[in-house]
Parts: sequence; structure tokens; C-alpha cells
Amino acid sequence: MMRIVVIGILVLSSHLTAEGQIGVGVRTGVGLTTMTAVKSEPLKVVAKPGASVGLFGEFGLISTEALSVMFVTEVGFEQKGFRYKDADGDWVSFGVDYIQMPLVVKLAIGKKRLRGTLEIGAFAATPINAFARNSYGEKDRGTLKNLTRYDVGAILSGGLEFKLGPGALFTTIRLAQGFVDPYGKKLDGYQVNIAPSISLGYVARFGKGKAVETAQREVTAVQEEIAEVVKTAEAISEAVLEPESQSEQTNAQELKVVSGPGNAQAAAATSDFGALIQLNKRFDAIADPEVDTTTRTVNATEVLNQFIGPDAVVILLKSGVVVDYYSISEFLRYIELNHFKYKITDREVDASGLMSQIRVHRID
Amino acid sequence: MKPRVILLLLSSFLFGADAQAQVNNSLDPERLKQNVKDFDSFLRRFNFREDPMGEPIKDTAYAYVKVAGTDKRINRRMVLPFLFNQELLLSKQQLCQQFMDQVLKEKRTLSFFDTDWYVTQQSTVSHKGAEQKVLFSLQIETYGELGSKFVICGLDAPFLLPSSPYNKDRLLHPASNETSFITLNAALEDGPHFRQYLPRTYEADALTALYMEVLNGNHIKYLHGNDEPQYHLLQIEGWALIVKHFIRSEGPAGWLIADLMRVTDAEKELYVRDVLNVRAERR
Amino acid sequence: MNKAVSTLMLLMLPALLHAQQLNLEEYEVKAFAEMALEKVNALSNNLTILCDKTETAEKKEATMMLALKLFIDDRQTVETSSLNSDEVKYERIGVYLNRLRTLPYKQVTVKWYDVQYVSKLKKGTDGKYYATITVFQEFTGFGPEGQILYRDHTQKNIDIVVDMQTTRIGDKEFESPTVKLGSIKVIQTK
Repeated sequence: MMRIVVIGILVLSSHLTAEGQIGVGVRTGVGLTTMTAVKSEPLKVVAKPGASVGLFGEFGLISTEALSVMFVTEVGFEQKGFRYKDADGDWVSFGVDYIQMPLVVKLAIGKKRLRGTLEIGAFAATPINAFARNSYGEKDRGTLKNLTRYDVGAILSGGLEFKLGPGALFTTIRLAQGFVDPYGKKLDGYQVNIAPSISLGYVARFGKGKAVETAQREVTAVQEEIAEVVKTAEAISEAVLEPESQSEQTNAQELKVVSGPGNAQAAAATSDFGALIQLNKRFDAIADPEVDTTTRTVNATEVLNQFIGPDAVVILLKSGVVVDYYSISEFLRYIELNHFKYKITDREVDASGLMSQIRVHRID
Repeated sequence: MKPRVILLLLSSFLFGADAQAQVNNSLDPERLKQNVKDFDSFLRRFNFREDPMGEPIKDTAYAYVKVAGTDKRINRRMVLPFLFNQELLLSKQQLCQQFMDQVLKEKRTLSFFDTDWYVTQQSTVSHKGAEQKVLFSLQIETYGELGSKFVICGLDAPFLLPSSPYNKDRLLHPASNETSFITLNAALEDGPHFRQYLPRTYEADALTALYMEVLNGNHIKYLHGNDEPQYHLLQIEGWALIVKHFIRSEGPAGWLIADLMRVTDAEKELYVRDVLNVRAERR
Repeated sequence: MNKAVSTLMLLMLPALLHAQQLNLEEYEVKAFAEMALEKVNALSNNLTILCDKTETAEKKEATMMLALKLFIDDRQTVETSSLNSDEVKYERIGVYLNRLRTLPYKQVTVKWYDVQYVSKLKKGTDGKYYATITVFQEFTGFGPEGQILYRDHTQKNIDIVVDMQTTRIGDKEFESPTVKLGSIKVIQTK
């Protein structure tokens, strides 16, 4: 018994480390449980009432405005069994209590507070108690020795949930169909448990759902990746290009001395990443209101020297969308006058190694 | 509960204990957020798709708005009164309440692309060298996926329709039919009195007159708008609303309901014809 | 043959017209709204420079050029009304910007409040998208001793238009949607 409880806790707690929205809930229900014969003579049994209670965990897989898909595991107590008329014509109730662990995929459909739910899955169960009760109320505790020590089956349920507080109140109609004959050792033929029930419960949900990403967000994500790569290369390049300065903060004034092809630092900057990083630093200096006019002018001249001419093209992007075009000379005036911080994401270079076109996006 | 009390409670709810301190600073950022900044914003707040702080509301019956650092729960019933000009709410309290009750009961919403709403723009034009005041009435026309546009549907421009008092000597005499109406020649040359040759019930349409003036290049030029436009919303059954722009340093400001009238459909027809000067079929 | 060709052209015309229509996705609308706000911010910066007597004529000239490039064309108008009078001023954008250069203050500060509102972009039947940006501004003019000579608060409603444009840079031409500023209505609030 303890082993079962421990397994249940482990199953539920695994949700706490998963990504996506998680939920923890409790369910209680009543149903009519019976047995049905499979490939044998029909049984002369009728349904008996049974109660159930369960503790479950939800793990969000997909979450959009109108649809949520979740993976649900549960540990619960289920009463199953049947009733039959004995030889004397008296009704006898035969019950088996199970610890049941369903695993289902749950869909919650709808945009409003009230949503429809659908669950499809399977369960595994083990009997923990068996009894027989006659119509006079006399109860005889049965032995588990003659019962199959496990049951597996399928679950199908549908219902409604109503958003309340951090989670939802729900009601479902569930059908659990066993595949294993629990009484194989005792009864001829092959019979299985079948247990329709109606449940009521509450689930509390936590964490942010993982929404379906649009193509546009993918583009933005790619752009952010590029910016990250450039940043990393910047950090590496700082150690290479400015060995004297161990500080992580770039001093825009220092760029004043970076000029001319004879300069060793400029030579190092001819690498692809190096060039982009230098350019971005120069853009920062030009846009910085704290930097003096002379330094800004020097940086602007150096920038222009790296392009095929003052009419080289600058393409402005917002979230991956092309929104404007400037010539490089106009663009430098634009960022200087307005103190807008832009970074390069892409460039085209001609045969002479000079840039003919760049793509930029704003970072402040 | 008396509307004045409601207003005071609403004020303290939205504008907080520092309402008095904010009175003289109309450009306080928090106050600017509360302004109903344009007509689209008015529609969104009317439909409970935007809260009184200008933040969007998703499709729920309730929303939470941050006021003075705390979250307050609001619903549409609480937010609708903020779309009224305070003077109107006080002077026509019962009427406003009836209107709000109907809107809430019917879950009535407004859309920019509804029919039966109009915008009037008081303007100054120059006509033959003289400045003239004109009231344009405009309506939105939609073309599905191709977009939409405003069209001039009515005009009040008395200078385009000079009066012509009755003159007994100007007529197509009763025997004109026997001479194949040769008298039409004289009528068409009698510009200043031409009205005398038209039916008693004839009403000239200023919009058509403007059309002809513009078509013929008759020196009519738009100079500027006088004041902000006004919106006349007739699409809610049984009601007519006028929405205007209010600039003030205290209380709700921006685009608000300035007037509210209970009207029948027949009264709406008269309003469209006589106030908005729309001669075409009401749409 | 000519009749056949002209008939074909007539049939094709709606399709041709449709091909020129912009159909923006939501993320594109958002991007252009962002760019429109940036242009309005740039306009604010440009206005401050134009009003500033300490700035050089050369810088003001460059600023004028950049400011005008923000607009659809130089026929856009600025309409100014006053709370205190019925006077309505109505100027072309070039004239308005030029007038700012000649204001009689030693120094000005133009403060734009951080409440910039973009209305929903609506599609016109000409295929262009239209919206309005509302900004709130405090303008202060200072005298030679640093004293406040003038202060006003205004609300500015600025038209924005997203349209397919041909941008020429050097010998290259680019055809793509761009956002430009249109007419400006200025309402004095205090």
C-alpha cells in the first residue's frame, strides 16, 4: 500500500519540474460499476453504486486562447464490482476497491470561462480490498488471493470546466473500461470491469502557458540570437582589440584614436565580427548626446569610409519588418540628431570590401 | 443612489486621493492616460474593450485596473458613466441611467463601421472671395476588404442657396403647353429668379449646389475647420447621442457624450434631414 | 486586335488595381505603428533644434531637411487653434517649421509626455492605411536672463499613412510600404 502511495507522489511531483502550465486537483465521483462478459456467455449481473476519489496533476502541452492540451496523471481510489441474485433469489453485492492510476490526454476547448473538456487515455489499477454484502447488510470481507492483482484499461470522459480563481471547477462523465479479468481465477469465461461515473472536482493551475509562436516571433527570436552572437563576439573582441582596457564598459571617447589603415587595432578590426562591432560602437558614439561634436564627426567620417559612398543603403527594420530606407549619410544625421541607438544585423559588401547595404534595428 | 454621489465616488475611485493635487496639472501623465483620446478610444471604452486608464481589456465581463497602486475590479456598468460629460449626467440623470440600463441589458456595442452615425465639421470656406461658414456632415462608407472612406453626405451652406422671395411676375404661364413651352427659354435666362419656376415644395440641396460649384471651378476653397468635429450616433434603437471633445483639468475629459435624447425612428429621420442636412436615404 | 487588347486591359484593370493594394498582417501593422511613433519622436527632436537659437544655421538646415522627409510631402498642413481665441492658424508644414526658426526666445524646451497614443490603423479605399498619433507637449520659451517668457500645453493629433512608396537612394530604387506623417492638428489645452 505504501509503495503505491509513494509511486503516486513521485508521479505527481514530476509535474513540478516540467515546463508549461501545471495544475494540481482533486476529483470525487459516483458511478454505477458492473462487469461485462467478453467472448463468453453474458453474465447475469447488474450494476452496483461505487464511489471514487482522486488526486491528479496536469501538465500543459499546448495552450492557445481557444484550446489547451494537457497531460494528466492521477492517483485515486475506485470502488468497482457488481450485484447478482444468488441461488436463493437474494441480491448479493460483490465489491473490489482499487487504487487506480489513470494517464490521459485532456483537451479543454473554448475561449470563455466555461469550456468543454475531453479526456482519452488509459489506466492501471491494483485491488486493495474485496468484500461481499448480502441484502441483509451482512458483509463478508473477501480475500484478494483469488483476484487478478492488476487491471489495465481505457478511459474516455467528457465534461465542462468553469474558470474560478487560479484554476477551474469541473464536472465530467467518465467511462473506464478494464481489459483484464479480475475474477479469472474464480469465474469461468472472460469478464471485465466497466465503470461509468460522474465526477466533480477542482484544479488549481500555476505558471505561464506556452503559447503557440507566430512566424513573426520566430523572426524576432532569430534577430535576438544574432544580437546575442554579436554581443558575445564583442566581448571576445574587446580582449583582442583593446588589451589595455579590462573594463566591460566601452568608453566611446576611446574610439577617437581608432583610425587609419596603419593602426594595428584597425587591422584587427577587419575581421567580419570585428568590423560589425566597430561599426556598432561608432553608431553608439554618433548617437550619444554626451559625446562631443568633434568625436562624433570623426566617427561619422570613419563610418562613411567603410561604405561605397554616401548613397550606400541603410534598411531600417522593426520586428523583422522593413519599415524605411535611408542613405548612409542621411542615416548618420538621423541617429545623431535624434540620439537613436541602432545596431547592424546584416550587411552586403562589394568586391572592394566596402559596404553597399546594411540592415539595422533599433535597440533603445 | 443619486448621480452626484455616484460621480463623487467614481472620481475618488479613478482619480484617487490626489485628485485635488492633479486639478491644476492637465498634463499629468496619469490623467492623460484617462483621457478618451480619440473616437476609437470612445468606442472601445463604450464596448468595455478598454479600461478607464486606456489599457486594453480582453473578452471578459470584469477587468482589473491599477488605481493608486492597488488593483480595483471593474465591470462595464462601472465604466459607462465615465463616458458622459458630467453636466449631462447631472442634468439628465434618469435619462442617462435608462440609456445605460438598456445598453447593458441588450449588451449593445458600437462599431466604427456601423451605419447610421455621422460626423459634423464646422468649417470656413472662401466663396467668391468671401469667407463663409459651412457645416459638413460626413459618414463612413465601407467597401469590404478594399477599405473604407468618409463621404460628404450633407451640407449646411445657406450662401449656396440664395433665397428667392415670391415674385408673381416670374412664371411659365398656364398656356405655355400650347406653344411647346417656348417660355422655358426666358426661365433659363432668369438666374436670380429661377426658383420661381420650380414647385412650391421644391427644396434645394446644398450638397448638390456645392458639387456644381466645385465641378465648375467656381472659386470655392476650404480654409480651415472651426473647432473639433462632433459625432452623432443614431444606431442604438430609441436613442440619439452627440459625442464632443472636452478639454478640462478635472474629471473625465476627452471624447464624451455631450447630449443624449430619446428618439423614435421618425424623429431620427427628421434629425438626419434637418440637423445633419442629409437629403439622401438614411443609411 | 486593338479592341481585343483594350477589352483585355479593362478586364485586367481590377486585378492590377488590386495588386497595388496593401494587405498588412497584424505584426506588420504593429511594426509600422512603432516606426510611426519613432518618426513622431524624431519630429519632436527636430522641433526642439529648430527652436533653439544656440544651434547653428547649418544644423537647422539639415534638421529641416530631415524633418520634411518624415512627411508625405510638403503640402501637409499644420492647423493650430487656441483656447483663448477663435483664431485658427493654417500653414503648410514647411512654413510652420520655418516659423519655428524665427521664434523670439533665447532658448526653448519642448517636453513630450510619455503618453503617446497610436489609434488603430484603418484601411482606406485607396489601399493605404491611416491612423492618428496623439502626443501631449509642453513648450517653454526663455528670455535672455533665463526667465520664462511663454509656456503652453498642447495636444497634437498627427496623421500617419502607410503606403507603398518608391524610395530612391543613389541609383537604386526600393518599392515597399513605408509610414509617413501627414497633417497635424494642434489643440492648445492650457
